[in-house]
Amino acid sequence: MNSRITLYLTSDEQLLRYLNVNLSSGVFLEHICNIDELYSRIENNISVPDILVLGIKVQDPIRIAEHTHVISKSTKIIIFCEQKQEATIQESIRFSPFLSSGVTTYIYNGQEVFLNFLQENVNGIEKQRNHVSTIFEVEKDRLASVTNQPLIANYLDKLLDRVPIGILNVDANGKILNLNPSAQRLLQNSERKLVGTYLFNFFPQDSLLAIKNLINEVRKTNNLRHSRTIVCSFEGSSGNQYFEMTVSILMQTSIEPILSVILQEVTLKVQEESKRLVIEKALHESEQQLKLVINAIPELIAYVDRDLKFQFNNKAYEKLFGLSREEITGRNIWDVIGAKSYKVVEQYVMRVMMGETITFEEKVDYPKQQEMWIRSTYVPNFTESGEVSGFVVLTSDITQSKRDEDLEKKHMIELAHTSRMITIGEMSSQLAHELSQPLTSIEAYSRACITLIEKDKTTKTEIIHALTSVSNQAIRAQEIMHELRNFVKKSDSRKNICINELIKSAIKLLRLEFQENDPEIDLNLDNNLPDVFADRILIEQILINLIKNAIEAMRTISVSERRLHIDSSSSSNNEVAVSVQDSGPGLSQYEINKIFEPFYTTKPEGMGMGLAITRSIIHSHGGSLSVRPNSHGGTTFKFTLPVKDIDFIGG
Amino acid sequence: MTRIYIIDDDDAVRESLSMLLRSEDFNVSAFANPLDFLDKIVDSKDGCIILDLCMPQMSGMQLMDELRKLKITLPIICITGHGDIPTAVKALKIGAIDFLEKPFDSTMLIDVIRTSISMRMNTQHIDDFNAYAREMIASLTPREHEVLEGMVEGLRNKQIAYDMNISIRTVELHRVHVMEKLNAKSLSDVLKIAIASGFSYVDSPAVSDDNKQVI
Repeated sequence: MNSRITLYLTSDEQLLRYLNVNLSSGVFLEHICNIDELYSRIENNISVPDILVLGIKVQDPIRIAEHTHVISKSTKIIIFCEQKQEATIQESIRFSPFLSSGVTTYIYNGQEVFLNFLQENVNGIEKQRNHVSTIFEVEKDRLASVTNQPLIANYLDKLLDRVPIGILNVDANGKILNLNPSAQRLLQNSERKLVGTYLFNFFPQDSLLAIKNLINEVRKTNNLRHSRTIVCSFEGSSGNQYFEMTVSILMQTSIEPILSVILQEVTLKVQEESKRLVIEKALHESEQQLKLVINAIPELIAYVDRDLKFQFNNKAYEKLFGLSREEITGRNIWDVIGAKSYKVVEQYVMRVMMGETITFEEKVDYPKQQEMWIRSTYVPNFTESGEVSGFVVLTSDITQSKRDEDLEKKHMIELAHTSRMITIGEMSSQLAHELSQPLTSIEAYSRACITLIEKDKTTKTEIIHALTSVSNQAIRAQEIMHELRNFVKKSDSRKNICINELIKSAIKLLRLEFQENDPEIDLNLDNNLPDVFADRILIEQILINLIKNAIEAMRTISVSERRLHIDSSSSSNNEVAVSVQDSGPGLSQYEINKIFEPFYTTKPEGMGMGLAITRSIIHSHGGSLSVRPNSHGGTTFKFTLPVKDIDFIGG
Repeated sequence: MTRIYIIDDDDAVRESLSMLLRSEDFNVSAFANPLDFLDKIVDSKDGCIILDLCMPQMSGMQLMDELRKLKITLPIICITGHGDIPTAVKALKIGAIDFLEKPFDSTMLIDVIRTSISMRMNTQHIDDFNAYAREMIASLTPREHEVLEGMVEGLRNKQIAYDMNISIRTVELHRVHVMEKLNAKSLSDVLKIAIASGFSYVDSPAVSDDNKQVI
């Protein structure tokens, strides 16, 4: 590219010719006579000169220079001047707001000197122009390569613009230098507002300090690889927002390092975390409550795994065995409850491990404990595939209730015994009568035999007949004795018995009463009754009591009006019912209310125990006894007995 | 010929007593049923009736009433396996000559039979016994007399003690003394003597079948 030199010399043809001949080739030299043409060319950017030379006769050169430089700053301007003018012009140049170093004054000193001067300037311009051109070429090459083949850096730039992670560069004090769009979004401010402010100023007090500390710390480490992360938050437009802020040194400059800050929103994560914490806390609390409950339960509760080792146990366990939780957990059952007790429960352990839920009562001998009764329930725990993975143990100490039960049973037996003894007292006249008959005849036969033999007035046949009768009567007496002994026997012997037989037997035993009082007896017995499970003697005695009571109740009415009904029947719900009805004067409501109370009696010589005991015996058999007035004006006693065996204590 | 009538529903007792009395050379007529007996009974100067008080068809008491209506004067010896004082007192009061509680010693029965038969032959005997009884009763102290009254009324020791406001043990002691003084072997002896002495026995309603006491 050639330089253009424009001379505005106001007609100095000789110099123009000289320059044209001697200036280096490639320099375009022209002469303009009209200043307006110059202005027009400069303003229209057509043939703008590189050097403008203003001749000595040019009017107002400073104004022309100013005009030119306003538009084309790069044009070098040389102003010819007389020696005496130079200082004034230079001063004007210096004070002009539009002129700078590109304007110089020149005192013309012959054409050769000027040529050299001009040539120097041309050379300088061309050298600079060449240099600029080289830079331009290189830049052009670089741009070409960038456009043709997108570089990783370019890609990263775009990526940084789009990633949801905020990336900022800050100086060592935390002042934001630049940032990506995500950072703007996260900090909810525009780039204009953010750049130049301190990062931590966007955060409330507590986070602010933490961020300051973080920046200081990272700055001090002076290690490019070092990074630190904190979580900070500020109140955003949609509630509290949380960020994970990672700070590291981006580059080390001579004075202070530049730091890189990575900002990642973790609000959701924090919220999830806090939700999880709340849930965890609730879980922990409910677990604590459950533990409290389980530990407060006096029953022994434990979980045993498939290797028969304790996995869990409550306080009651520790207390009973005097062991700490650590001493129980992980140990085998037999190590905790003792080999002796394990032998007792082993069969149940085997069964629960087969998947059966079992409840049992056993007497065990735990270490450091007295012998005790336990009631345990084993509940198997199944895996998803249906295998037994262990079982829950629930054990309670029932020694006391067992003892009470035994005591109760003993009481019942004693009560029954007492009751029999009372009845025996009441029946003694009956028994005396029963026994007196055979004894009288035995004695009479014997005496007769002796007398007859002494008098030698008898036959062998007669004696044999008498002795046979004696023997028979002795057997009769034995039977009565036997019956009596059975009656008194202190035991609870229950078996299946036919209630109708007992009714007949009771009537037989009371034949004396019947003879004396002669009531009309009306038996209405159901022949298809199931057997009841009961103590024969006790039930017979109850029947005797009730029948005797009924007979006695009818003493005050005339014989023809005495009617005794005895019914037996079977109701649908596995019960047999027996009712004894009299036609006596009946009982008042007051008497009916009081009748089962111990020591209440309407009989002058009665103890008032009969019905109280009767009722407790019926209850102990799982039945009931009731009393009500009947249509004959008398009283009906009705009792029921279950067909099936019922435990002594109604279990 | 002395004839003994036996009325008892218990076969063994009836047959054994029949054999016993036959061995003692009595004529014996035995009946299980009082009605059969009433058909066959013939009054005579000799003999006696042995009557079981407790029978199904007719009680001994009713039978004695019937015999009185039939003007049968044969002495009646009551036997019972179910003896209590009021029954005994009642039987003696309505004409039984003696009262035996089963089981009894057969020699005692024979003695009673013999005595009753001979007493009937000799009325002096009865007067003598009555005089003897009065004498015996007179030998009792007022306290013992009071206890005897209670015994005749069929009261229990407990009741007597309560009525007299003394201890049961004292009552028991008085009873023993009464038995000794009256030379009585059994309660029926005591009652016999008391009745023979014309003891002011009142058939009070308190002494009824409802209030039985075993003797």
